[in-house]
Amino acid sequence: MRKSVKKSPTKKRSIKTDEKLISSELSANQQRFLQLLITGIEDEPNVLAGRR
Amino acid sequence: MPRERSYLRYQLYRSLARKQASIATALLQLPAGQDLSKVRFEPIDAKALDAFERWDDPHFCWREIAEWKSREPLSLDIAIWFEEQLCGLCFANPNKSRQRIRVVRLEGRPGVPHPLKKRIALLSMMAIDEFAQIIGSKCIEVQEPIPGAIPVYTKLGFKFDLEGRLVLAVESKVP
Repeated sequence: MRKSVKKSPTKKRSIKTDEKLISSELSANQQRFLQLLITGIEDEPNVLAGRR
Repeated sequence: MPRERSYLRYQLYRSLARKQASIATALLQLPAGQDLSKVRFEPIDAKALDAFERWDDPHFCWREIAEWKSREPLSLDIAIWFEEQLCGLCFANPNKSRQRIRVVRLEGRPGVPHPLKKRIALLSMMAIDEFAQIIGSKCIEVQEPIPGAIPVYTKLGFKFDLEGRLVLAVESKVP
């Protein structure tokens, strides 16, 4: 008789994690960003971060 | 160095972060004539670099990012599109402990006006904040902010910490 192959617990956790990740909830930061997105931020320079 | 499995996992995390930012942005109701449902968050791939070549006098050479991406497998690269126009590019990288994610480079399209003007920092942070939550980072740091952009980051909620770093605490989602 062949041994049945069980899915590893790691795999099961991974699927649950993925489901949790695709969520419609937003963090407080993201809620603030969305509010600001309505009008945008005046005088935003083209270059925002980095060193040449 | 992380194992091969980590690389694949981070590929998924990047994709999820961009997707989540895209969904949240598209659902935003804007005054008539403005539509953020046409915004796309994509990786900095060959198509983005091709579009970048048509930018008028960019500050950075974004072609370097291809090498950075292979050197930093946990990093997040974002090309912000409005329909077929490339409007912004961003590269962020978590530190080894993943507690801090650093915005290394961020630039909006120079020269001609584009539909996402005034919104490049905001859109980038939507995706970075999502990525930071996924990987469990505690804060986002702008590594080398351009002095003229400090007021923009202040509006986003960034503050200078005691060590003079421009940071924003990552908060968990609220229902």
